[in-house]
Amino acid sequence: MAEPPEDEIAALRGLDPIDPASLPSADEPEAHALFERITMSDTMTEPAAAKPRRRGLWIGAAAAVAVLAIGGGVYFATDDDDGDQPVAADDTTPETTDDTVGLDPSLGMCIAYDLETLASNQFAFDGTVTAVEGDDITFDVNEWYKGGDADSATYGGASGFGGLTSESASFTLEPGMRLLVTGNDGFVWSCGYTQPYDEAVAAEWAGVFA
Amino acid sequence: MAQDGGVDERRARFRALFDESYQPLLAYARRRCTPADADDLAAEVLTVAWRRLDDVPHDAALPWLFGVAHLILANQRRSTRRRLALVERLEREPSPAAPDGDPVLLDALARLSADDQEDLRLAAWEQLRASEIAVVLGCSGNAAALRLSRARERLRNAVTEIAPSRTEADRKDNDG
Repeated sequence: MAEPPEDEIAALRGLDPIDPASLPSADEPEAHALFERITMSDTMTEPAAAKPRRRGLWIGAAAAVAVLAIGGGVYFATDDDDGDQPVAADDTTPETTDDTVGLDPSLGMCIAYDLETLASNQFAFDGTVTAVEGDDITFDVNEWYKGGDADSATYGGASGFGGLTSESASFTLEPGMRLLVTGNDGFVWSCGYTQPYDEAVAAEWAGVFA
Repeated sequence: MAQDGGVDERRARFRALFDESYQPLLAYARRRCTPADADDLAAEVLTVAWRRLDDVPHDAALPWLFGVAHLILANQRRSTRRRLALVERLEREPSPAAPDGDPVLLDALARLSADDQEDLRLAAWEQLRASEIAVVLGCSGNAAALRLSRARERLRNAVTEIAPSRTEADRKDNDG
């Protein structure tokens, strides 16, 4: 019988498919270009500053809007908006030649899902959609993690769902759908934060807000 | 988010972080993605770091960046799983390995859970300590050490299980 390696970690290094030294360094032109693209982008990502996205702002006027990424929320501002607003949808937005594979093309417009950001949100709960009226979503709350204790709750943000800007929120809200819901300032976040109920994710959320 | 210091100072801080992390971050990404996606992932992580520069821990910047990458990939996989037509294609954890590596060890690694594999990859390929793995995974140092210890044990067991059958198969091949 073969003996397992005495030091598994050292043995596993032999399986490493990548030699970091063979990769482009930060001195390479492509790295310089990336650095410049990133640092030319704005740094404002405060989730609490998110504004509701209003469907009417962008339908039929996609070319005229600037997409602003504010935390997990997304909102659109016309060219007439204040010029000092950040534009975060820049060249770093991942591109895929096959829209069914690869990184979410919308990632550049949404802050990546992370538990630290989630923990800072004002409300979070496990809820079942009972009604969607205009931009308002009403839930029966199965369990609050943060920000409330009522049996039902209504928030704005329905227009953030539907797959128009984020694959992470590509599901359509329908009564009866059980979701893990989070958001700020009275609006549900899309962009992968609010998501269909999953037992493992629910446990993770419970831990985050414990 | 409050920004410490001026634009130049901020840019200088990011420059240092960028220089330190670009190559290892690219390596992390290419170990887990196709090359094209890996470049996108590295860019995305660095963009997050630029926007959240004040949150990057000075003493664990690289594990923090790996943690952001880990979450982006997890988020992406979660999203992808919802797309039924793609399940089979992307449910496959990207688990590339050196083609000339120990086949028994490679087979044993592939038999472990995705979490075990990731713990071991972080320790072996990114060469992180348990306390740094904890930063990546967002858990306590003790939890990371325990996870890693158990993953190592399961790897040992998998090697022990595989090796006899592999030896027997090789012997039959040679006899044939």
